[in-house]
Amino acid sequence: MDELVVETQALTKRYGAVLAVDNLSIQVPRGGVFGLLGPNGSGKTTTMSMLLGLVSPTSGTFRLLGRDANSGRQEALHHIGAIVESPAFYPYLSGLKNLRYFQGIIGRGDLADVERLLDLVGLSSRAHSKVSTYSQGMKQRLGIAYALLGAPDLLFLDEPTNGLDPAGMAEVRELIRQLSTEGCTVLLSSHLLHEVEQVCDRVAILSRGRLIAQGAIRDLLRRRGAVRFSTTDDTKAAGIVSNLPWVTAVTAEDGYLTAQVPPERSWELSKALADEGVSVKEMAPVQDSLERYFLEVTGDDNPSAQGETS
Amino acid sequence: MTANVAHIMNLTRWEWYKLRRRWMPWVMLAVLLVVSQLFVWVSYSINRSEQSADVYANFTLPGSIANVLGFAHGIGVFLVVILTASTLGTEYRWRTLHSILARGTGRWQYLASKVLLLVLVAGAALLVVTATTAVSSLIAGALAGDAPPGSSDSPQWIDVPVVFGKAWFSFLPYIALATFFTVLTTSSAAGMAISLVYYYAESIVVAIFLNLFTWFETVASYMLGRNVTALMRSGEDTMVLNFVIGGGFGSFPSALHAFLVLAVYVLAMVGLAIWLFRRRDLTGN
Repeated sequence: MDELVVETQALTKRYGAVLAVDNLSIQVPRGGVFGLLGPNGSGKTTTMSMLLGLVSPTSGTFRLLGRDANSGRQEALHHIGAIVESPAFYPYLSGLKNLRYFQGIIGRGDLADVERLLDLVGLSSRAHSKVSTYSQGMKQRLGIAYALLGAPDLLFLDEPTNGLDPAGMAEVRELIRQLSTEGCTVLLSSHLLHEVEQVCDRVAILSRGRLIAQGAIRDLLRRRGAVRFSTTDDTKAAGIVSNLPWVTAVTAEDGYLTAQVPPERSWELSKALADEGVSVKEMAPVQDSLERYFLEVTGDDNPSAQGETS
Repeated sequence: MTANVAHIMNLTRWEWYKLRRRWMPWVMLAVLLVVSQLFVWVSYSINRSEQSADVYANFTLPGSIANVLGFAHGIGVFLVVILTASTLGTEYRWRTLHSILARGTGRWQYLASKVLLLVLVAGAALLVVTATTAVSSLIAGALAGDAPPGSSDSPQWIDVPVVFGKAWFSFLPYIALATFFTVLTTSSAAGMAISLVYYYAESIVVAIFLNLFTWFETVASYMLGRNVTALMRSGEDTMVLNFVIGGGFGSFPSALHAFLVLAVYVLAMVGLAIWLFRRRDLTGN
């Protein structure tokens, strides 16, 4: 396994009778963008809050940037930038002065860094305006600039595109990818499936505080892969394929058969058909979508909005 | 240890960066100055109609400074409670505490830096009041001319730093009180309200109970306001300190007793506030 920047073991948070995070064990390797995906109330923000020391776990442990949660969290946090929930600033200070303040308490960087970050998030022209005059989208951008103060090794971004227009969302996603290529590991929490699919390399799916699945998105989808094929005798082929023990389902649609089959065994499918005298005319892997995968693993077949998990 | 001190000093510096950009402390300072200067100029007006050595000493140096500091203390307590609850409570309301603590800022160091800044600001406000009073006393003294005949037992120059120190130290328990209640309630309004209600209620309760029960004097000698009044009044009987709320009937504890009791109050309340602040979850408000 690669070096882990975040590693939780049986992390649990209980608020009275409510189990917000239940026995969560995730591993975030260094580099890339790691998504925490789940509907609202699934425990994403609570998990981030525990990692950032804002909330104490009821039980369980974790390590941040190789440091123990109890003895080394504060030191680790000096190398972590974060937005948790909505970004919070002093409304009577300008964007620039807010960043100067946070830079001051972090103890790294100078005015030029603040100006560069404001430019990076497109707020240079409003740098001297009070934050109370900012729109939600501008506050979100300022939040990203705040998270990038001190050139962190690890970024926690909790719903970073909230409140942004589509162009702003695209810019932020591009920025996240860019940061990732520059060596910063990003832990992104989102309830937007397409956002996670577009930006993240790896994902942990949470539902009702529990970890449902985690791994590289490509692997998760491939693991549940399917092949679509047509043969010289589809009726006979469907019978042959459905008897194979490693095929979980066979469906016929639009003149094609689709079999749920582990990707690494798809060649065996062709062989089995050939052995029974059925020739394969066409065969191609069917890439599952994260949305379909998410709905299957969480058992939620009625999302309230297309492309969202809640 | 050195790292913690350096951390607290850095945090205090940046807390000042924020605080000086708020209008509230400046308005409070203006109120404090206006009220304290009123004392000088009202004494000056009285002196014009009925000249006496005592009244003359109230608006001329050095008596004016000691008297004004004692007078300003009563209003200062009220203002310091509001400022403390506001600077701390808004961090909860604006959720800026999340942004501060998520970057590795130590919790107890952060709260300590807030308290330290408020203590320094209170001292600085008293210094400004002192300097302004000195200037206005010189002007009032020049306008009034020579002192009327007779002697006055008003404070001397040597009393000025003592009264300054007592006034400043007496702010500390109220800063600690407002800090504790604001952390406890995570709200400016509640922190302010509880602290101010306590401030006024204590003096009323003490006055009533002292009249009803003689044994209550022992209890009262360990109460906050009673000890603040005792400290402010110690050795300065002639000063105009009747504005200091928290008095009552019966005899006051000694200055040393008052100092020690107040020090325990400060340590206990700041300690409790830090304990609460460290262990409490910061969730979305």
